[in-house]
Amino acid sequence: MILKVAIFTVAVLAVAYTIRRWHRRELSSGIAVFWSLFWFVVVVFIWMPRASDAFAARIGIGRGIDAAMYLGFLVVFYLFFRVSVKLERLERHITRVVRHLALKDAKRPHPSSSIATGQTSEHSLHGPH
Amino acid sequence: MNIWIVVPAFNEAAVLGPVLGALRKRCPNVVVVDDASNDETDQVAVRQGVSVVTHLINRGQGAALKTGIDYALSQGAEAIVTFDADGQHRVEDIDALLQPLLLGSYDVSLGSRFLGNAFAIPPFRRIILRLAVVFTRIFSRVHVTDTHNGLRAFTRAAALKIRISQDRMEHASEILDEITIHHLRYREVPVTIAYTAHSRRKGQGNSALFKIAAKYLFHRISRL
Repeated sequence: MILKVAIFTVAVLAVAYTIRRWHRRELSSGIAVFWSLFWFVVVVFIWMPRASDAFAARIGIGRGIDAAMYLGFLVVFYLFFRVSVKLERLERHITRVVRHLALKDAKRPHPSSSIATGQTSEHSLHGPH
Repeated sequence: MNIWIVVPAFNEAAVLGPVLGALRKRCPNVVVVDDASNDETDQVAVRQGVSVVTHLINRGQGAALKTGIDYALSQGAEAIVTFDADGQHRVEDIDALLQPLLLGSYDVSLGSRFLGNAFAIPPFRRIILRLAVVFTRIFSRVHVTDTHNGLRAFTRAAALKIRISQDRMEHASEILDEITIHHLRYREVPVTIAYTAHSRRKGQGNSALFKIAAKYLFHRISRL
């Protein structure tokens, strides 16, 4: 019973926090709905375990808690994939900025540089004769 | 023809001087892309009288290559050669690499150590690179004998089409993908790769190639 109350309290606080962030436009509507639904489902499964067993039976898994675990793993892996994709995009954006700055400050050799022994076209790469 | 040689470099101050000296004797247009080295790589390059482009933050060889290619294109390059800074490549192979492009028959030339020579290649590395060939044939649908050779040449048109978005070593597989996507005519050319103590110390470990494959596959999946 204590666990049920504790989880219910956490869920209420989490939903309140989600709504507050959505209200401040720090969270999109889609994400706010997702997390609110998530905590609602958690509370339903905790307070009505038979409902979770019925749901699990419908999707071909034995117990409600097992179904919750499998679905939880799926959700976590999906979110991990989404975060990884966003990180990759961020890395590419950083590279674009670094490249832009690098090209802007490119150092060109002094025209009088004689490292190539002052040779000109004889030692340039030729095309076919 | 306005030919540019792109040399991505990271902490290669110890060996870069002679490499650039040899390159400059064959081609006046050389650009070193210093990928935020901790040593004097950029200063060595400046002293050798080549163009130098410096990344403020280390981004990887793929990113450095793309920066160098962009620079060369901005300078009007009609053909671009990519060349490693660690002394593994031979300047003498550049002419053979460019020949198919100069004749107009191909858009991309790819160096192959397995058609040429690979001196002192560690045995397990040879096996890993052969596996990479199989991997590439499956995923990039490109039939090459050497998938991770930094000695390549592109025409200007090919360089403009090829998109390198992978910053690290996965760029090698991405370039092969781009060849397929844009139906570019490519040819492999025998080249010599000399494994030195320096290049072996600095190079990718064999296990890194599996990580490269995993990152490449992740990139492909995320593009679906």
